[in-house]
Amino acid sequence: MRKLYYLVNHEFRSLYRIILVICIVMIALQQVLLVKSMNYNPNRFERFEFLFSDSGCIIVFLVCLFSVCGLCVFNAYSNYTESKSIYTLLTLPSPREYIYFSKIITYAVCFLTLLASQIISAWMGYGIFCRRILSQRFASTAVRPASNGLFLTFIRLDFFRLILPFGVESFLNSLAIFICLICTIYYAVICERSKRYLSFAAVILNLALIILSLVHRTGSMTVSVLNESGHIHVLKAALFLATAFIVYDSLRLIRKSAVV
Amino acid sequence: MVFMGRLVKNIILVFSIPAVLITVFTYGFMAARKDSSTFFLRDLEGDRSVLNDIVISGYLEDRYHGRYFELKNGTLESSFLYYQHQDDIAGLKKPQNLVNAVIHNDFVYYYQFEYKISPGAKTEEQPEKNMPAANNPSLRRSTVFTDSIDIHVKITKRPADFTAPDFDLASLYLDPGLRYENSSMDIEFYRYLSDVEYQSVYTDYSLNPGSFPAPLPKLAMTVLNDELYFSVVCPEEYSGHNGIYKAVKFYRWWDETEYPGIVDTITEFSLDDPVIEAAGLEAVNDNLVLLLFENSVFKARLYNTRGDLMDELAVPGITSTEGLPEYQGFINDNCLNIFLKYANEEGFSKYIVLSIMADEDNRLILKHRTEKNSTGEIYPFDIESRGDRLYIAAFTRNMEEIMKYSASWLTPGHFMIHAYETKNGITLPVYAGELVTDAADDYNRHLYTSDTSPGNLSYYRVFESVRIEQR
Repeated sequence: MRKLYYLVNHEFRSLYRIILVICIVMIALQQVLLVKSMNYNPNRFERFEFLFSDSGCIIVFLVCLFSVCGLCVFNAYSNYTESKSIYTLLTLPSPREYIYFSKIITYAVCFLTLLASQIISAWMGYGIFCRRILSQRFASTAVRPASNGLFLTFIRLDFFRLILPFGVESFLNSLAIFICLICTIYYAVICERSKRYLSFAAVILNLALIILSLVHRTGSMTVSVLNESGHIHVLKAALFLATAFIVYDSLRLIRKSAVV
Repeated sequence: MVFMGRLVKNIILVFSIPAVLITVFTYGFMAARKDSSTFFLRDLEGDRSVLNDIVISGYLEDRYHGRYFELKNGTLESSFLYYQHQDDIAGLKKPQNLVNAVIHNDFVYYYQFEYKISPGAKTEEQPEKNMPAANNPSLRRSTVFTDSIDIHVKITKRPADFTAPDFDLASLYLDPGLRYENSSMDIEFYRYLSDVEYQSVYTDYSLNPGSFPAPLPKLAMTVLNDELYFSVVCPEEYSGHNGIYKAVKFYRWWDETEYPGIVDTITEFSLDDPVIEAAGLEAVNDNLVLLLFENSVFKARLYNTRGDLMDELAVPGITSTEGLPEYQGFINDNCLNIFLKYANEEGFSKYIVLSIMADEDNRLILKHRTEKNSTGEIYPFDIESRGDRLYIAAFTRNMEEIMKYSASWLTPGHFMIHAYETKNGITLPVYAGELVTDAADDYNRHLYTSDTSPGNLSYYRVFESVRIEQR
């Protein structure tokens, strides 16, 4: 395990500065957008969750999320272009699975850091929002920040329901999406490096399952076949099964040195 | 430097531990705050011990979360519900207060009226030249004026599961002999001619409801012993016949019959002499109660399912001289609790609540009667009669509050609980209380603005599935 821990730290050392910058930029941009949105007069009594979603904060998060995805891909390919290459890693006196899991754990921490930054941003934004509401002229007569407003934002905004699910089913679904996304990104690189282009079908399938889950979670009120409550269990099971397959296949390819 | 070196060596922990802690802390915050919303019963009048006979339950919910509450023994208990899919939403499980439908045994029965120009009525047609309707050059419209129309009833039955395909649509039609005659030819029909090269292929008439000089009829529907009974609600302007009817057989849409369906007439009466205005139909104790105004006097008539009149109760002081009141009925055991609302143009409304009991000897007895004048809006959730007490759970909006918001329907309301006691034929209030919540915060975005676009109404917390039951 010490070797795995060492490998994880080694992988993360090449990423943490960029992750830090992405997180700081995301928090700063979101605060700017929120303040801009609050200054717009028709929004003076708007709920925080609508302010957050309408101000573009979610788009900022998505841009950062895709940046982190790109960073993970870049990191995987850097083993083929920089020192401490895949050849070095494969000759280390440690199980080859450690190479795979060190990458997955590193990417998971990158995404987790981004999620935590998003939560910090929401807390900060809500603090600014409350001060803003209380400083308004109308505040003395009727309007206060909504009671329990931040909690309601976490509960009622589809975006936060995805990243901070508050129910067991939703939590498992979000966890499945999270794990599936990380494993799929790395699996796509492994498939390309090992020239297993047919395996991209599994990548596409996993991405489709992730998209279907997101549609189900965010559009549950729309009239579609996806709104059946049983479908979320099927999707969750499919995500875990598909993830299990790509983890198995990734390990198989790494053990066979097919990625070289 | 050594410390920095250690940090860099364990950089994964430097990032992952705070990230996990922040997430866990936020979950802790959410767990702690889930029951922190404002939710309590404020006594406004009387002693809440009068509520000990009943249990009031319901949900305060939006599409994302809800709070189930139960008021029992004067104690309000509530629990937080996190909705994860559509089936969790209480308001969608069993729709209430349907405008033109009833739900029974997994089927929805909804009605519509078909308006036909009476046979032999005077008509005058004004073609709308070069005016293709609906941007369709082969569909042309003309306006037909008439002074007399016949009203036919159409009831459609479909599965209550609206996500299921509606292949099972089935309908029945009835021409009860109901007519509206006007002194002038003001009633407008649109006549659509669908033609190819202006050779008529078919014509279709549709009433312009805006031209109709009287309130349009409604249908009162009730279910008794798994069978659907109905009667047409219409004011004094209508003539001809009305009655109580039983839907016997619905025909599927592919049965090519001009007037499909089988309807049994339970009882039939003329609307003209005396002048009868049907107001509602309810099923109580295996019998049917028809509510009507006979020469402007409010009456409840008890019929059995064979159509025999078993009893009649006249309630003085309730008239239809200013039009038919809006009506809602609530049944508990053998009591029919009636909510009547008279609204005038100045914004004042008069609300009357009656409780009529059908006893074992099939007699109708007036148990409670109370009325209130108000400038606000009142919408009852449930009304229950227990012994000598009458309980009302209602949603109210004050006029002063309505003025602050962009529209009355975007104004937060109050959940009010009223209890009355009847002694020696006089009904007096004994308790009033308000279930205070913070749901009004959801409507703040409509304060002091003229913008009436609400977005999705399911983003606002509302009370659903409110019930008053015996303890």
